[in-house]
Amino acid sequence: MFVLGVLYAVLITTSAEFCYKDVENVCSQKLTSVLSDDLTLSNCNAKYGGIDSMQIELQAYANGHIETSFEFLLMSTHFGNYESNRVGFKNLYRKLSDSAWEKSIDLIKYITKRGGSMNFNQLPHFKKNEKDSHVLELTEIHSLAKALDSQKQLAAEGLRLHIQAKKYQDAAIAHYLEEKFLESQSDVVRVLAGHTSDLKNMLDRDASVAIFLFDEYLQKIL
Amino acid sequence: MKLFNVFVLALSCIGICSSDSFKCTTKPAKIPKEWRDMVVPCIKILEAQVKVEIQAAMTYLAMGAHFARDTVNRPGFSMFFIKSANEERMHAIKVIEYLLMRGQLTSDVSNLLKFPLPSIGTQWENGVHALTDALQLETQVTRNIREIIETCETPKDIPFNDYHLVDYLTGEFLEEQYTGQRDLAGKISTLGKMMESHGPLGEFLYDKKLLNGEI
Ligand SMILES: [Fe+2]
Repeated sequence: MFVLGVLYAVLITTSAEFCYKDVENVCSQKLTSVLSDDLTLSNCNAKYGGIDSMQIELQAYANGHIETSFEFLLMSTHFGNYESNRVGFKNLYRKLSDSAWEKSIDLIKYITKRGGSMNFNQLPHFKKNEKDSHVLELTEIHSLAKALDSQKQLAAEGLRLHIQAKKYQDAAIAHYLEEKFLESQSDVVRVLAGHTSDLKNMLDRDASVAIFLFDEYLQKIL
Repeated sequence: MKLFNVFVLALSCIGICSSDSFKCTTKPAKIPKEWRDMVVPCIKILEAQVKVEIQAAMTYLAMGAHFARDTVNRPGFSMFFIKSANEERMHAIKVIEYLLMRGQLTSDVSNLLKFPLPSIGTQWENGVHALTDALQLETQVTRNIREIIETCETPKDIPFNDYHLVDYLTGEFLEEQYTGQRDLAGKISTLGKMMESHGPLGEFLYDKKLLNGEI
């Protein structure tokens, strides 16, 4: 009981420097001035740990996912036209687009959960290989290569952010990145590397039949 | 030389096809073009609609992010707008799917969207303001769709009425636009009345209703 009391007292004194103090200030004002609408409780927010240092990085990462998501959508579109006509590839890239879109939304929710805000103008950190930057009408094998590069870039950026989170001693952000990004990223990188390797090995004979069969395979596994 | 090729390959995934032993491209088949009967002005304006829908998605996403902030704390509004963002993205995909079905988008898909996407607002004074912006956005989108319908029904100097597209836009897109606009207008009305007399309390109550799907 005594320990609880002490703990309570400690909690009160620590918070008194922050939100609690703001509340006291506001509550001690006269009613008329309170009504004048300048009650700012600037310390009553969800921020703690390293979010202030990480916010820009996380915003850029969310924007990177949004951009990646639209790139995959356009790649998917290309394979959906009647000349390419590869439904498997179309579905593969649509799935990657959906996943990047969902992850960007999840990141935005996480940033705001930690007391931050989203800035859609914060440009993504990673740079695209200029040569292929926004060319999206690709052959099947080129598209797999581009997809693999792009996912690896997101994964590498995830690892970099994880190091940053540890540097700012925010295990919560590090854990979030591990659970929501690092884990699934190693899966998708491996799958795409496998696809690239499979298709590459089949391309030296009859490319058109190999790609047809591989596309059917993609349709089945998705 | 062969060793060198392997080395180059190892450097970059994109470099995969630098070797002669691979057949990366397949010869295109001979397909008659006559079945692709959409006319240029109609294709152009429908393609432009993809940008419009994505822009709407991004605007809703910004609203969703704003209402998710700790100091704003309107999870119901945030959920509502994020759902709208997903719907707008699906609209863009629907337009793309339609163009693909009609034999379009065989080249230059990169032109459908430009990166980085144009910037958008980030702050809304309250729920009524955001809903009002949303209604105005949808009204503009409806105008765009009507314009596409007009262009594709009677394209300038070309006697080609695109019955199927016009029917699709009217039945699927306009239907959703008008029901969506009515829904937003109703929400602005209810919330506006509550906030007029009760300000943040009205907004708080309305937010929880939105969150629980009761409105
Ligand atoms: Fe829409």
